[in-house]
Amino acid sequence: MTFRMTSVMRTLLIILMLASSASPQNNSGIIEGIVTRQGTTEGLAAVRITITRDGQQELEGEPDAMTDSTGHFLIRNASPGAYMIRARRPGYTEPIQDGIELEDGGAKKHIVVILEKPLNVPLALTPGAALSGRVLDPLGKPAENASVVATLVANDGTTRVAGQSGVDDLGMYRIWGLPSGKYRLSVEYRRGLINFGDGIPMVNTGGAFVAAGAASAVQDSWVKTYFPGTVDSSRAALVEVGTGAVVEGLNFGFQIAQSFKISGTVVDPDRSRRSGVPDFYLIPMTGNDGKVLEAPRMAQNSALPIGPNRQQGTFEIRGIQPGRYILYAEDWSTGANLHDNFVVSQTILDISSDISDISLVMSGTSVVEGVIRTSDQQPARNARVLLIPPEEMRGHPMYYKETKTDSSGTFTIKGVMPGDYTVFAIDPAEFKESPPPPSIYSMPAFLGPFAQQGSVVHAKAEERVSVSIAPIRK
Amino acid sequence: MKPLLAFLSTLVLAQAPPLPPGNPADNGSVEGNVIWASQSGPLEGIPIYLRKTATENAQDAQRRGVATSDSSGHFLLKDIPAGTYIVVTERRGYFRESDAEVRVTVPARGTVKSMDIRMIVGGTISGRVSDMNNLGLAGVRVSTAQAVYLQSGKRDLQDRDRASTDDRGEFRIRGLRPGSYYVRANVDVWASDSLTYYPGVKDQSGADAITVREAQDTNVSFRMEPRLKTVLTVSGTVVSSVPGVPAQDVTEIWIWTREEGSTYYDNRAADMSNGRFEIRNIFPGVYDLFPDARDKDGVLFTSRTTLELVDHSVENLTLVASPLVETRGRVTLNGELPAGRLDGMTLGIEVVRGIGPFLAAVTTPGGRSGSQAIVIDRENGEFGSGRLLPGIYRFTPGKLPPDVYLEDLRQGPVSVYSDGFIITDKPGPPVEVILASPGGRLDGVVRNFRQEPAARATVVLVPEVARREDRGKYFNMQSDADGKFAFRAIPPGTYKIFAWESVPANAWFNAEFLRKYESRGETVILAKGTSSTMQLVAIPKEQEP
Repeated sequence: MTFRMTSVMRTLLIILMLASSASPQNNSGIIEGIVTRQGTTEGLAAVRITITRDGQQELEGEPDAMTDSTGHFLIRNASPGAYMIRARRPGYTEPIQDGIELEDGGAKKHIVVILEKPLNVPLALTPGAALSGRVLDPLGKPAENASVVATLVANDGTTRVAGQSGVDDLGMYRIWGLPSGKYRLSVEYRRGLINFGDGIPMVNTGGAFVAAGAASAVQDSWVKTYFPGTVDSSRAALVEVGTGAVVEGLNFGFQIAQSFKISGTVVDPDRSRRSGVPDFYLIPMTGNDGKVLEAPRMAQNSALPIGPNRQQGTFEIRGIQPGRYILYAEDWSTGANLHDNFVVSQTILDISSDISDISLVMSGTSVVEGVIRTSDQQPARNARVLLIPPEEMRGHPMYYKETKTDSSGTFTIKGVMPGDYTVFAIDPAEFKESPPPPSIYSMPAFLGPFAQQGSVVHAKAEERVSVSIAPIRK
Repeated sequence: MKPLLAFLSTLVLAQAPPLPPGNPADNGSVEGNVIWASQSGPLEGIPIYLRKTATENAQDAQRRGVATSDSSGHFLLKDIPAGTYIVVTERRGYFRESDAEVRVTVPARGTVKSMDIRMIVGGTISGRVSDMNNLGLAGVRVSTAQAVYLQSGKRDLQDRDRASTDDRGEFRIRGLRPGSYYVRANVDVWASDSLTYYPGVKDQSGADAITVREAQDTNVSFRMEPRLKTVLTVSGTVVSSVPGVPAQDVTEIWIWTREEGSTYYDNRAADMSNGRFEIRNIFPGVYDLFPDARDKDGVLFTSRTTLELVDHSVENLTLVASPLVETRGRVTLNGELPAGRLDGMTLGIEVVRGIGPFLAAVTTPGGRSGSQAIVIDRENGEFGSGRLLPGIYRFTPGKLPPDVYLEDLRQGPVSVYSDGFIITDKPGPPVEVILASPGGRLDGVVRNFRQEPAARATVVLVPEVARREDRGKYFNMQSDADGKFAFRAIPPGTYKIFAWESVPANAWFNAEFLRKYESRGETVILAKGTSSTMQLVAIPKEQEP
């Protein structure tokens, strides 16, 4: 017997219906191996090994393992079948060859588990790079509770946020686990609701609510600053870091710049004033080409509306640097389902002075539905359906939508912000060798070569739109 | 695995009341100094604002203005509408010297001057966590922890502040209130079995406490060995004990554990039609399993099966779906029928072990209704418990007439006061709720060692040693602003009485904790219907890690 009955209560017998134990070897395959530091035979301890069925998401509780002090691991109870095996340890990255993560090799591999004999899988990880330094506020004090972001700038100019770090009471930050490459560093005080989750008291320092921690009261004019000390992103220095390298002493200071405030009223679709309090997002755009500055990230852009009387739907946002922004408001407090049935509003603003009397008219969202059929008119089941916003709207996660088709090839996407989108369908079978990125936000780059295979859809407020398209083909 | 009640947590901002109309010309101001208490010097950079009430939204309060102390510690809050406010100082890592609330009354067109605010500066714990090969472990959650006491009296550690290690394995936990802490680290993955205490031990009893001093950095480095827990699967069949009771397509299995309380697991069997179930991702431990089988009206059928998982998965376990039963009972007062003397009395039900009465509630078209109140017959004291899930329960009296106390709970000849009574799928013997009156009364005053009245001291009546396992025999209350306390309706017996200026909740249930103070307690004998008076000296506040 491998389990036993217990009688926890002293006075009573608990009746347990008899059960038989499972044989541990029954119907399970064995995977063993070693994880080394890339290019060495040195075993790495404390590496988490997970296996996922091909085409499936990683779930908690699937058989996984941790390497021992010599870097060895053992998974006993894998069912036969094809898997992707992955090695992970914080601070380490997947080995990169010619700037590309290897799809099959290094830290992850396709494997097939059989019952007859144990599988031996060698894996390897590479130490990540780190960037660190000290940030001071305009008064020369540590910029405690500010947030430093490292944005990876690729050779073709595309960017992605690769890491971030808070600034501590000594003014120090350290961003680690980075792939090699060229980075743009920026620091800012996060203003807004999102900081409440940290358990850090918030203080209104003359406009914006920021985490109370800094020795100085944070001013509206203490704006986002790029290394080595400029508010102009085009003049930011790029810091190059090699594989596993550490660049220290990246010290810089907050710059003071003119900032503006905007205010206005949120209005119901029927033009009566609202009683709800929407969440606001102010999404920076570059002025000329309409491209968004950075990859979409909800928290970064959230802005806390303040005003004399929220009940009347008024709002005010301060400490805004000049530039072009999307002002986006959403209110799902009355919706039945998160992001399913909320009301939204957006407007593009060129901010070069204070703006008052903005009227944000809230409206319902759209539903996009349709059928995906293959070229021979068969329903494409389990295909990924993606709604990609126009280029100038790609800074905000809420514009991106994704779903899968059911067995009859149909799909429904609710909560779509009114606007023009491109719909794409991807059949996973078509991209076995070069799978698309799991994150929809990385999709615009992946879909670039297939742009002509998308279908444009015009989503209207509180209306359903129907499309019928074929999956993209290489 | 999911939490018992999965509420969709929605962010709802409190609706601020409109600011009262007032003439801004009548506004007043507050000025004063923030003082670093231990240095008797100024403290710079402390934000100060005023709250109308303790529950006022911080954002609304801050709209009245936030002042920050300057390099000489001075602050000035201008343009404040006349009225009484609570003074708030909020900066991470800085603490008020006294816990007492500071109020200020701002006069119309006047200034409150020389308001001194004394503060303590937090300290820091920093260090490095490394793996078995002395390589820094990145992304490890490191936390400070302090002792708390559970309802059972068990001492446990609770996380206070936390930080994450960087690529070198280094961490820094700042802004800690000076005092004694344990430090522990865990890797942030599911099924981690890696929790390690400074100086590098897995067992809480081997942990060393660290003293954090004001504005000082204490260095703490240790090694840990990350590993994973064994993950097991339990599968089998749900069968019905009575024809017509549904046992097929059970989609959830409810589970109770001593440590975690109750959770439910989805049935992940590929085919549930023959009553098959399979629950995955269970760690070794002792569990009570309850199948959630429902008939077409949503009525629950279940049973309780206790299982200890050691190191292997379990197959072919049989769980039974049975109708729920009701336990009958009777309330007596001084051995007699209540005969109208207990009007307004309510009975509650406490779950000792199991998943509570709430699941048994019938699903109505409008949603799941709550469990029904227990109705006691005012003349003969008889009551029905309502249908209960299998488990172990206790009745607790709610509102009782003055001087009436609960003497015992009995089921036949057996006292079930401490351990509770058991509900299975067969009705058990009736439970007798034995009330008696009059109880003892004990009044008194708590003073500190300076002979001043001790407000908000915790006064605890602890039963004699032989009855200390029974939590229901302890009574506690807080002294009022004048240090006064008044116990009513206390069951007759011998007690020891303790008064603490400040004590962790439930600590008095812990034998080891109480042993330290045994000599500070005074023996009290309360006879039926007697009144006593006592003067107590409070045990001063002590630092405990």
